[in-house]
Amino acid sequence: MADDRGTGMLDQLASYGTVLDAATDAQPVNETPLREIIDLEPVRRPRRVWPLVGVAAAVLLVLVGVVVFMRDSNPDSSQPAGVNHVRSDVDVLARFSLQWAGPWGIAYDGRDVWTGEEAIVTDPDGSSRPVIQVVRRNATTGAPIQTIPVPQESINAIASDGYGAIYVAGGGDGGVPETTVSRIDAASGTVTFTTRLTSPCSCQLAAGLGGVWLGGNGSDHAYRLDGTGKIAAEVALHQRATSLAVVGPLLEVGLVDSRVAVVDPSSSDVVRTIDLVRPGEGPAGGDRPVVAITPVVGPDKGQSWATRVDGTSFLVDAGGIVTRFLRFNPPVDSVARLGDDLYAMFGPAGFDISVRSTVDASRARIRVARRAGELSSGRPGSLVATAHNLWATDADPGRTTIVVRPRRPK
Amino acid sequence: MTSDREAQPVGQECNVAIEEIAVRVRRALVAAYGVEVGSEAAADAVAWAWEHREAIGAMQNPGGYLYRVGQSAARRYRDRPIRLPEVPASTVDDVLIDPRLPVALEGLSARQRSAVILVHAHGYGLTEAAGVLGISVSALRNHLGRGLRHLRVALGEDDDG
Repeated sequence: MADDRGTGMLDQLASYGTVLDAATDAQPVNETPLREIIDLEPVRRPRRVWPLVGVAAAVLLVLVGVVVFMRDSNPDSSQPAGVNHVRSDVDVLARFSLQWAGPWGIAYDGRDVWTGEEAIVTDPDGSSRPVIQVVRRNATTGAPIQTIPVPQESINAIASDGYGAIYVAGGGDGGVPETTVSRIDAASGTVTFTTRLTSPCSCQLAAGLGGVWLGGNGSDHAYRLDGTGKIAAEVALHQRATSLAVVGPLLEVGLVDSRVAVVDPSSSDVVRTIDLVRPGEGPAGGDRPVVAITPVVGPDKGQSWATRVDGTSFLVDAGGIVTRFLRFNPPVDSVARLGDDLYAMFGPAGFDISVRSTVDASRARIRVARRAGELSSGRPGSLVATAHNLWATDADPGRTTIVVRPRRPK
Repeated sequence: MTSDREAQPVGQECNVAIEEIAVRVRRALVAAYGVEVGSEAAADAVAWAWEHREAIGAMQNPGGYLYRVGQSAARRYRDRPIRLPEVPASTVDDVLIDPRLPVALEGLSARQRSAVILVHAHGYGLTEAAGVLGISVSALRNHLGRGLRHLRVALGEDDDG
């Protein structure tokens, strides 16, 4: 009888294996927001490490005790009461407010940062009115350098081609139906043309390839304006676009169905469609829009990182092959590349900047996770990289903006 | 990974090897951490494997290595309870499972639970299960014996049989 009972339990265990496999297959993966990024290097020989961990923990406790004692015993501590002391991995260089501008209303031209803003001016008769303007700001301090009024009724996006042309787009939404695009000559600070598009597109701009491209924000077309403001191309996309970037000699458009459409500007045709899927995920599609396309510069020019809203970034080589991927915390709102690192900004409120290093374009290895603590009380907006800093704005009216410089890992 | 090209970024042999290892690693992590956390940790481990597939191909025990990667990933979910699926009311493979079995398994240590589930629920050999868990066969046998003994006590069965 005893043997029967024992065998019975083992039989139940064997059948329970089927239940476990079925439950595991039915378990949705990666749908739970991850609160922290950790280095996924494996635990190495944990048993032998434990004594060292114990010693390190004891030393750490002593040090923490000493610090706490010293802080408590010093009433003139420089830390204000009530401040949540989050260890930051960035230095905050500047914090200021941009008056309302569109979600992509910041651009870096290789030297200065251009922002789209609204100012209230008072006329001689005492009345006040809003003025839409582009402000050129110092990339480190955020201090205004130059103000250029533009004809848009609101600014939705700004882009620089890196060669002295700043493009500004506005309208194309419910408030201002027509889309207008203007070109600013950075040297003279003058608007050289303004074009009205009959097809509204309240979307992003990508400058380069002899003009400027409009696309994204749900539009299923991409438009190219040449250097004189004429519509040089209109590209039909098979899906709604959510992001775009000039990558090498091509335009890459992120789509709502986790695909990237590659457009050849010489023919204005979609020459390739890239599926952004991880192994084992099944075909592309569904509701995982590509929120950012970030070109890789330097020797690996022609590659790009395409990031889905669930926080997975794919390295796409110049031939359209996905060669690497890595994962940020989902959901990601904006991505920027600074040096060899990709930075992602995510919410929902009180946004952080976190980083996963790419180290180099061929390894895509996660090197370090860094947090900047709570940077704003608003929802995450846009993240733009300059030569050494990151500009992060929230998406709320007032556009709280911070300029941060990441500390290099020791 | 692209829709219009036949070329693959990695070799098919490597693909198959990682997918085979992934099954074992996922079962081991689910046994240790429950379905929810184990599945997430396994997804992270497999992602790590794809990012480092050249290194994985050169390892003697890639399953054990990936299991430890999954353990690292599981640390971020350590505040979540271990949950194993309830048993269905009907028979499974013509066997009626004691509804107390999942709770009894949850009461074991992670190592004991992993050993019991890998060997007796999934039918792995001692060597194979020990390899995935990164422990010796004798250690696995110890965990297995203790785990089964605790299970019998929890389910009200005699320990002498």
